[in-house]
Amino acid sequence: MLLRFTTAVLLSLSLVLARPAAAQEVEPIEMKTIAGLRYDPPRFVVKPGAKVKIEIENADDMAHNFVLVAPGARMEIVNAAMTMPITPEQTFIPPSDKILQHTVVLVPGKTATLEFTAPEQEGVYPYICTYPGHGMVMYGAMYVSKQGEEQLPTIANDENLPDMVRDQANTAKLHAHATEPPHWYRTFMRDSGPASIAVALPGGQSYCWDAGACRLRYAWRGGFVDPTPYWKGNGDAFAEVQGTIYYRPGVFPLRFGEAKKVPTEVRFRGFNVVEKFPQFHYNVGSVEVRELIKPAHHGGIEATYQLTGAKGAVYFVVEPGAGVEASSSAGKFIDGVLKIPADKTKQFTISFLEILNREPLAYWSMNDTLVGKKPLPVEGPKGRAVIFDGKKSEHATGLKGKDLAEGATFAVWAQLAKPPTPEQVLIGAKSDEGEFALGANLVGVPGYGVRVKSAKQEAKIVAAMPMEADDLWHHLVATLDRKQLRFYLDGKPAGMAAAAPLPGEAELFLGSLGKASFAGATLDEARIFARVLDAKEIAALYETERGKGPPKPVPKPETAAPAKPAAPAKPGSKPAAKPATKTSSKSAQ
Amino acid sequence: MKRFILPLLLAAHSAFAADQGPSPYYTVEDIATPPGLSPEVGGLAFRPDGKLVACFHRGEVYTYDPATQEWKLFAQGLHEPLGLLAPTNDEVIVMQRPELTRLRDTDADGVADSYETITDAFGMTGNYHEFAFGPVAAPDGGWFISLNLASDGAGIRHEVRGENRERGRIGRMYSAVPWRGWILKVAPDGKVTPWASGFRSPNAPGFDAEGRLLVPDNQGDWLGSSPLYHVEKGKFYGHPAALAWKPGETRAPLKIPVEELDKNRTRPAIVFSQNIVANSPTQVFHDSTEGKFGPFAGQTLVGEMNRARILRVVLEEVDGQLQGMTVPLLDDHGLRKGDNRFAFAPDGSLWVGETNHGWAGDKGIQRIVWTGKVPLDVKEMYLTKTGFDLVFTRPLETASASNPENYKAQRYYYEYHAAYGSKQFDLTEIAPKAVTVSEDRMKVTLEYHPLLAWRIYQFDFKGLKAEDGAPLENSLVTYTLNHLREGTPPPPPPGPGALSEADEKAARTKEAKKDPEAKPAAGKPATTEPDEKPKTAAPKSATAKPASTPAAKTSGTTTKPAEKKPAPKATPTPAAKPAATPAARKPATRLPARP
Repeated sequence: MLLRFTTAVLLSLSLVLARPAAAQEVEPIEMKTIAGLRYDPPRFVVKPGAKVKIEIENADDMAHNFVLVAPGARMEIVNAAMTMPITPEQTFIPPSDKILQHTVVLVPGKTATLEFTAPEQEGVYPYICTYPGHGMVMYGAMYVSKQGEEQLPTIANDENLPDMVRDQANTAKLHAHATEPPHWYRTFMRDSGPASIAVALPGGQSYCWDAGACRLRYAWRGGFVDPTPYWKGNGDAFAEVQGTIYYRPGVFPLRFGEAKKVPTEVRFRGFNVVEKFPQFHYNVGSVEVRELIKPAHHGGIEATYQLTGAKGAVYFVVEPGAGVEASSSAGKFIDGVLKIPADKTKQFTISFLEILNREPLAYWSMNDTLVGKKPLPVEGPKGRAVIFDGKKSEHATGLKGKDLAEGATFAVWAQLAKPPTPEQVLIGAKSDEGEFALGANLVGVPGYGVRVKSAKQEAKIVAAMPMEADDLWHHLVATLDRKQLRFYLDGKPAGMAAAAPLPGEAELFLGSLGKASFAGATLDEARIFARVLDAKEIAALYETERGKGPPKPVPKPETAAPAKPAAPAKPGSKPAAKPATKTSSKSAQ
Repeated sequence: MKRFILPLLLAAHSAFAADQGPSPYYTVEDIATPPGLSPEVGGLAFRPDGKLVACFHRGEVYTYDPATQEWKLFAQGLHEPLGLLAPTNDEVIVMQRPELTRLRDTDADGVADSYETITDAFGMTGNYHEFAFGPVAAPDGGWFISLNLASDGAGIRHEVRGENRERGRIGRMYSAVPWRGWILKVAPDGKVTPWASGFRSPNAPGFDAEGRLLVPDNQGDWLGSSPLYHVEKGKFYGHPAALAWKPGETRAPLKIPVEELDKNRTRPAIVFSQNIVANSPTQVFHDSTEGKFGPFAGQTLVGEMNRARILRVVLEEVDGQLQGMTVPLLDDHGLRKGDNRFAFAPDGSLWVGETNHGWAGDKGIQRIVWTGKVPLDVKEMYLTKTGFDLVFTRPLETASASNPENYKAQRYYYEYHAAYGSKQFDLTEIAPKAVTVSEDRMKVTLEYHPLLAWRIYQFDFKGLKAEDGAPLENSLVTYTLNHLREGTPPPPPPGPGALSEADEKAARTKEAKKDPEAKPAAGKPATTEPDEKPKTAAPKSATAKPASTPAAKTSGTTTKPAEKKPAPKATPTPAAKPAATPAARKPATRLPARP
């Protein structure tokens, strides 16, 4: 163990030494042509006379090129390309000395690389797609400037960018009509079927109803959804919840005849607007159901069901441990099962009152992408998992340390990539006040663990685990209150220490410490609770999620570095731990 | 009226179309939409009471009273509505992404209070490209709708609706869940009948005046250039992905040999030449105004997203199959781009709904009114045994009409193959063998020798003018000549199909490594990278002089050499068939990463 620890420190040192040499290499600009006739990024800055390398990938499903032109020459080149004779080759590159650089037309999926020296003249050099019809709206701006990106106007105000791009950066007004709740969007919602309906209710309550499964998928309080990610671009995005989900039923709740028999046959028939609220209409087998969800008088929501064609008793199931206290206008809940007498099934109302902090403050099933369009999610322990590349993948949670002041639990499944980078933070936050890190090889100390650090205190727990990635999925949980920090690995307690406070103003990130200590890992089922879960709950979480994923590979003996280059590494990139090692070198003590 | 369009696009538009003033024949006016609405139009229809109904990208359905110019919100929160019908004054049938829906105003307050699902019996993976188009009302009740394929530019969601069929999941554009790539017939009670298959992005179906169901598709994989199909029950139209759901078919669509696909497909009635006629044709409809909209009553019209253009299509049946001509109805002249949806108002004006969503274009609504003047245009075009009859709207000026120089043309074809798009094969410049102008100067008969089947004939009649000197309004005319009047030879063979099994494995391995080399979609030279030069030079360098100066006869025949290049064989051979063996080919299709 001591030997490996030394190695890690040496590795950090060598990285520090190697940096000046690496700095002379050109950091390529990754440019994509994306759906909606856009370049991503829409602009970038280079220094006058600097060496520039642009790697262009056509990630759209139509043909594009990339043509860099002199300042002010955009429309001239667009028009020239449009009016040039159509040749079978279809290059769309008109003869002009105002074209500085260009690719061929890239069919979807194709890539090209341009390497050149930036002009000495400062200015805005447009890049355009000269494919006919595209250049009017498909362009971006290469700023040649001695100053950095921070000196530029905001994207919404950058007149060198297409209006489409600027419009989408400015999302103040979404509709011409008032959107006072109740109102709704049929749209794509995370952790629901593709035919989902997000409904805003008065009083800051909202819910997601799945028109495929014909049931409530989750309810939340706070803001409604931001539908703009879905509207902008090509529609490959979700409307994102702007609040805290407190109820997430996992099963279809209505049962007929037997409480345990989950109906399989449902058919959505639409909805009526009743006092401005949508009342869903669907069939469960031969039973016709109308379901009207309103805000409850004392917080939470209530659902009124009208059933036609139900014979005998009807059951309604709320799973144990759900984030709500359910009560009914007819019958009583016993162990989460409500039996509605046959004579009351015509109409009954069930109220769902939030149990504060029972559900996580935030939860990522990782069933869909979080950190960009690619790579697409892979199979994980539960559903899909998302690959974090160890270079720049991270997901800002929107939560800060102060949101968890009364107690916190951080839980995540992780499978480390090989070879592991020195410090891999799966969930982390860092500011001048201190830091929180749940991950592996923290500060070069091998093993999985957790660290909380403030100006005065530091708490650290490292489980005795191999330093190299063992190819296995592991479940990491840390709990923290004012007194204690506890760490659980794979459902079992793995150590505790006296607590240190979370940095209150630091934002929590998945996959990094916040622009540092990126995890090269596949993550699944990440949760952040605003309470301390006990050992039983943590063991249960582990048990319900393990063993459902892909077959686990046999752990390899701990020997030398892997023979094959790491899969995610790009050709030409430095091996091992080139990226972002500032933190590890600084804090390697 | 205020224009709610992007200033940039306005600038760009006028820069491009600076030479185009208003048309003397059609006025184009902008219809102001409510401030704050993003007027990306998905559907337009007029109700029996003369009010317009329009749906928009962000889920709104509005009604608009042309008399008072007032907008009223009818429904909201729809999931990307892309087409609607307004059969009664209180009912709208709207196609949204997840379902066909009947919106009804049951309490006569002008706002829908019933959102009834007519059918959602088709799959959804959550892939962005799974747009749903229609509805069009079937003559015997019910509706037709058309469903897009998914794109491997993105994956499928963890939760999908409908059976998820693995073998449908392979390919650039794929059909992992039921009826993607199909046109469905929906009965009035919601029962769904799969009607026809093999579509990629069929935006959007419509009927012609003869009651034939037509649908355009979009250039892409398996589509060398955008087509217009005559849709008939049970037929397959060429994109194999949909075959994952063909009853009795157990092979993965890409494992079906290209020769078999080619043999089984129904060819387009029209091919819109890419970058010339249309890049992204939109809704099919027809002039139902009985003359209120001008001299083309009854003709079929098709929108085009990529240009400020609406096309006329004139079909004729040759050898039992539809084929025919295209010509712009209106090009620029104040029309904006993104022309996606159309509806004729009771007064005979044409309302155009525009969208720039995910595409070059504009957004908003425009109204086109015929001024009552008749433009000089090619009204109709028919295939003869030896060439074409052109029928004009007005008498022609004789000298130009009888000048063979004005009838020089090009012919070429686009290849059927797995890769994205197609270059023009066998591009050849041709000149007429004979030009005959009719007595009334309303008709010109052209002879070309040889007249080849399975070619697109492209004309630019800019040299023609009316007897009063007015120029020909729309000179770009194409005719998709599949069948000859007599003795049609077999069509050109298809190009390379999809992957062989070994190629597929190799591609999968490469893809897993994120090797950029694994990504190219080209199984053969793509649109922009031909590996062989075409036999014929680019068309603009025509040098042949007419054999004689146009004669000042009121009618007559002029002859001249027909061809610039040696006459092709009777059985056409593609000019540039790749010689590569299958093993040497690059994978034709990128495999999506597996979740």
